[in-house]
Amino acid sequence: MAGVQAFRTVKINVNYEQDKKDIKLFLEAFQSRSIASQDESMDVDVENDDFNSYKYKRQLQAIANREQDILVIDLDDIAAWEDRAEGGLLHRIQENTRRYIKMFYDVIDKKANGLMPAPEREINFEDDVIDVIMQHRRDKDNQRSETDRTSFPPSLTRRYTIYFKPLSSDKPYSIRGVNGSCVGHLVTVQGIITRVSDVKPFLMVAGFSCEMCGEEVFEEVTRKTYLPRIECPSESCKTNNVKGKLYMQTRSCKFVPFQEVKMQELTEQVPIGHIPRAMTILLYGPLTRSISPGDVVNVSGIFQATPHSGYKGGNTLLTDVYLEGQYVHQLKKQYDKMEKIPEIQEKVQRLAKDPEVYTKLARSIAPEIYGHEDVKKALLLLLVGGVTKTMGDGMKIRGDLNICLMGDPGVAKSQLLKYICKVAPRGVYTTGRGSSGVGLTASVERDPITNEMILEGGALVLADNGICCIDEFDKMEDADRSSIHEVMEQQTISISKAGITTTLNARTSILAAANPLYGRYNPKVSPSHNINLPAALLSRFDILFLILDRPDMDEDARLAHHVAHVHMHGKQPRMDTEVLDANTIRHYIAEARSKRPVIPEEIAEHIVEMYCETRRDQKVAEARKKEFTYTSARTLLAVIRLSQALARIRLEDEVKKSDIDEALRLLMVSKESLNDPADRDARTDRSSISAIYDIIITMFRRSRTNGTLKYIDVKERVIAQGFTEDQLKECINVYERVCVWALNNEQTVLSLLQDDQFENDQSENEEL
Amino acid sequence: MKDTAFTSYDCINRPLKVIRHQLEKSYANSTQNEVDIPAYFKTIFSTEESVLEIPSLNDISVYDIPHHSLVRFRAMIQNTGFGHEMFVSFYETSDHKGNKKWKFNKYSDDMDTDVMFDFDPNTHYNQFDERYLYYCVSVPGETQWAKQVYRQECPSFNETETDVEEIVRSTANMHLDSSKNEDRFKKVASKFPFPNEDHVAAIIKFYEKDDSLKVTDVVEFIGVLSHPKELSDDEELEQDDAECSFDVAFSIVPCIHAIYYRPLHMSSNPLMSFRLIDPYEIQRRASHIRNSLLQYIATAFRADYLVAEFVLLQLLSRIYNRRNDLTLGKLVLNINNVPSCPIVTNENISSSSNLGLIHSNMFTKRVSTVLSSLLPKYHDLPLTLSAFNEFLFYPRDNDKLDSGILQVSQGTWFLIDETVMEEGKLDEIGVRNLQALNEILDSQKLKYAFPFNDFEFETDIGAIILSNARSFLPCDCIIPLLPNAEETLMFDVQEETLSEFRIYLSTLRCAEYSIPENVSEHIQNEFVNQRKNASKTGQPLVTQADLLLRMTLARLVTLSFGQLELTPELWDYTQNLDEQRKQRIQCC
Repeated sequence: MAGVQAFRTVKINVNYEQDKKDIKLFLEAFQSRSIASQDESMDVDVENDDFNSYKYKRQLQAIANREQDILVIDLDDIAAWEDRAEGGLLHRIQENTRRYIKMFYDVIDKKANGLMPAPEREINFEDDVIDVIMQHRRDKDNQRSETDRTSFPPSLTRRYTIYFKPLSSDKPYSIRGVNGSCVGHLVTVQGIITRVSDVKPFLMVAGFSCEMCGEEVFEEVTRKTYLPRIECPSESCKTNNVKGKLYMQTRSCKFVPFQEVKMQELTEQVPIGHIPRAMTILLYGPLTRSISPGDVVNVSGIFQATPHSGYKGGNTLLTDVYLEGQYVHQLKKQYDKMEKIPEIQEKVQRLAKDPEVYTKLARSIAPEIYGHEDVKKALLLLLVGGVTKTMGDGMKIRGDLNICLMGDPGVAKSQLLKYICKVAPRGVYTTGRGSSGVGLTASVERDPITNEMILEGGALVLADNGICCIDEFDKMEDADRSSIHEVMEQQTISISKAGITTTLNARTSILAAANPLYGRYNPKVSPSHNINLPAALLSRFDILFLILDRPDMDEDARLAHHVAHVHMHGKQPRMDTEVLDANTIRHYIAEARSKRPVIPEEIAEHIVEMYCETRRDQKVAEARKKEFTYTSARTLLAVIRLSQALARIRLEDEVKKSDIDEALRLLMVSKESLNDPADRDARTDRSSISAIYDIIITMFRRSRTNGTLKYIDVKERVIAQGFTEDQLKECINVYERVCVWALNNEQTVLSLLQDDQFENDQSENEEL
Repeated sequence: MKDTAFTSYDCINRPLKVIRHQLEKSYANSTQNEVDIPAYFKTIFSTEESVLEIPSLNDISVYDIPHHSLVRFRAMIQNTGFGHEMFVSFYETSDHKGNKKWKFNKYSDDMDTDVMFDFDPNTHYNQFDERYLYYCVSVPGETQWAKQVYRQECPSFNETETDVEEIVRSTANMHLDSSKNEDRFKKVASKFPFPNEDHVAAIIKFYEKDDSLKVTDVVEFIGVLSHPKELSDDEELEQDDAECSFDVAFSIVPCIHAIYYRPLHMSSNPLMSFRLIDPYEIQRRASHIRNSLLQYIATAFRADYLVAEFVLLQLLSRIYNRRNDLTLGKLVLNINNVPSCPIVTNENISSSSNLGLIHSNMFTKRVSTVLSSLLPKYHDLPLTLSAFNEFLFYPRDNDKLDSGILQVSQGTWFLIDETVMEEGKLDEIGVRNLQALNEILDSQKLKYAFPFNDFEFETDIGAIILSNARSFLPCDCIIPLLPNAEETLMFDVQEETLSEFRIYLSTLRCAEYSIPENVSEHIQNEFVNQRKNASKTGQPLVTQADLLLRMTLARLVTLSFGQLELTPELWDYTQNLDEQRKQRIQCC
């Protein structure tokens, strides 16, 4: 019948006596192969190295000396010792764990011929009181006659606990994977700990004394509930024919620490549309306090079932299940750290090898928004970020990038912001209308003029180590905005209020979106008039993009096609590259952020050169009253940050020349978008071929190598700027035909044919 | 053992006897495969009429149905997180003489009591089995007429008691404001999305592993009823809070040992499953029904037909595609410029308004009446500060999963009234509630809060927001109200007409729609031209967002006329509609 996972109890002929012998042999004879891998918790002064290699024998001695109270039996050791594939002792331990724990105890504790060695040290004042008492007890008992001796249950005097450590090859189950067929087995379960109870004493052995004869009676408690003994079973009471009453003596009882832990499934273990399940784990003895809420752990334990104890008690056919903890393996200390899933990790590594990873990642940002490729590239760099440096004197140089998107309404700025928030491990999205409050409180207020309800403050606790997306940046109060100045450059927030002056960390990137002053960009007035933000603030943004909504036949047609396609077929039209899902991007970025690329000497020179050039351009722009941003030392830092981010994307530790060029290109593009649209329209020919041509010509200009370039260098640079090799080849072919340059037959060197063409081009460039 | 043929009557009144007989029979025949009980019951109840004979927990109070009889329960799954439960399904009993007898224990929590035979819990021959637990509640937001239709279909339906309210109250085992408002009741009652509302709750024990049943799915379970284990009053619960609250639920909530379940029609409209509906007939009559439906909706909006048209389109919307981060078909409508003045002045209002989620604005109430008469699942959602700060909008787990207002099944509508919002502070819960609401309106996803982890669930919740000015919630489409008349009379609509409206909405909402290639091209060209012309004349440009909205609207317009394919005419109609809306926004 479907769905039934019935399991009948089967009688297996297991020779437990034989197994006991095996266990004894194992404990006595097991030698770990290398001493180095042994348990470090030991610090026994043993002169004899040979003895030290007997892993368990050595530990038993330590237990006898009361220096150790746990004996962890590593199933890997049993596997190695036994060297059998199926059906051996190891298999039986895994499937009938409870019983074998008892057998291990039996073997070790056996009075005659037991494994427990005699202590090597005398009892002294450093030891526990109970040890002293037990010693006295034993001494006294020895003085008494043989017959009169009270027998203690072994668990009362036992001073250690045996745990099994699962095979390292064991795959952890999810909670929903543990089913009835696992009862009694040693299983490993993975999950997140949600609740941990207080540690309570658990009565393990109850001690009673008789009011008539003073006889001591002990009883082992094996279940959650037990019935205390009432009548004294001793000989003297029986012969005297009195019914001695027993009283429980707390002092002669044995308690062990006990803790109940709730574990819940992890997000990735739950099928879509289901609620995560939880499991109870009971921890006894030294294992208590080893787990705290929020830990992601692998807990190995014995999956147990006991008859359900409902409200009314009595016989029910239900059973309660729980896991009796045996071994805890902490996976990671903090839950917000990303866990590395092997498949995704593999994907990330594969991606890193792809020379077009930069373009691919950028295209995958907000795939539902059409176009804006350069903006998306900049946003990708924002997610990755540069390297934050702390100087010896405590000064910090910010690595986080800040980007401002300014543009006409309806160009999907908000969607871009929201997407970034979603992808960033810690993203906060907020609108500029009030960002005063700190904390999780907010208030609703009514705008007196428009009668709109406004959310004031709150909810925008700036994300430390994350990205703060501020929409409607222009509508922010000046006072609030000025407090952002500090965050953007110093990455701290200073508070001086009610006599407390303190500085809080706010290591965050800021992604702002703003509308032009008149709601829509007015090309008739100068850029600085359109952009209604103070220069001090603007210079703090590494890149400022102006996204204007301008009708453009081709672009519009492609956009319309994109939207129509989505609605017709319910999916994005196929693009040149596959779109990566947010999760992969997140993992890739996490990987990229672990790199700390440095700038080599020769590249630094290159930067300086470029910087001077930009300053020169700035002068020209100022003369034409088209200036909009200021090129300052901050620009230089921005270039460095952007190029570091680019190196991170390649998962490399060194910034390359091409990174710098791409960083500069992005800066140029962002500025170009600010230039008068009419100017831009004059040279609209921005097809990939001419763009690549520009790149190559610029390279020629800089190379000073008599008009030759290595094809490899060209290819690298062109691809780094987001083009494909095919496009490059096409470009080379086209200009080869008009005799601008020639590629040698080996396709390794590209040489310029007409020097005057190059000169012309140069002069043209300078004019711009 | 003689082979008896059981009738549906036996199956309803003594299902356990039938099941045990079947199991014993198969055991006696020593067939390896256990008999398939669900299949057996499905053949007995193969016709709709025979199923309707089974008493439904939605219509009859639990205590009026005898223990261990077969019941139906139309419910939403609130929690699948309880996992499985192990029980003895097959055990050996022995009498004092040592005679052994096998007992079967499926579809029941109680042992088959037999005085002569004793159960030995420790015998090795007991067979264990597993069953899966779900916590279910009666469908949240099910409207009165829907409940009524379900009831009328039952053969046992009694004409005299027609007050649906009364039935809800009498069948609910979760009363919230009643005298039974004890702690343990409160604990269990928090598992229903809407605070302080009577409802039926049950624990479903399902014997087959079925991962297709998901949270917020609505299905009809058929199974054996087990009354809650009654606790006498003096039997104090000495359970501390660390104990699983599930035990508490057992003591007050009935349990259904589900044999099988039936899915409901995807629109959740009972008319769709009970009546023979010809979709072509609906399509043919669509324009006609559309007109009278517009009239009907417009009565709530003071004869504003444009708003009525957008509302109609909104009611036809559904998420029809979801891939990666793309959610298609969502239309959150914001109607602003709504008058907020006439607050119902009622003596009792102060006490009842803080109890539940009921609209207090007169205008909103009108809209609410119209919507709830059309939709199978609908609920009021007045946005007050206290609602934000006091109620839970999203489900939250602290040791057990508490429900939140937004944990409703697919295809539930909310009328969100922002006009009752007042100025003030939102506390932590309030902010989280607002985030949850924003996320639903924005991407139709709801996060269930678990300790250290959030779990995201996809939803399909319809939302219409009424506000004075532009709403502060994210919405796809904004339209200001322009009343044509001060007050419109509710015109009397025949029940038959209403049924027609309901079938019209449900049929067309679920219909498949497509855009032919040539129309798609037409749209693309028009978009390019519009932008070109607009830039010449200096008018505001049509943006990508506009195009997206119009594509969504075009689908709904097409469906509303009973068409399944977009045509250039319908596209122009949509453009025109959207233009009118835009003009209105500029005017206001």
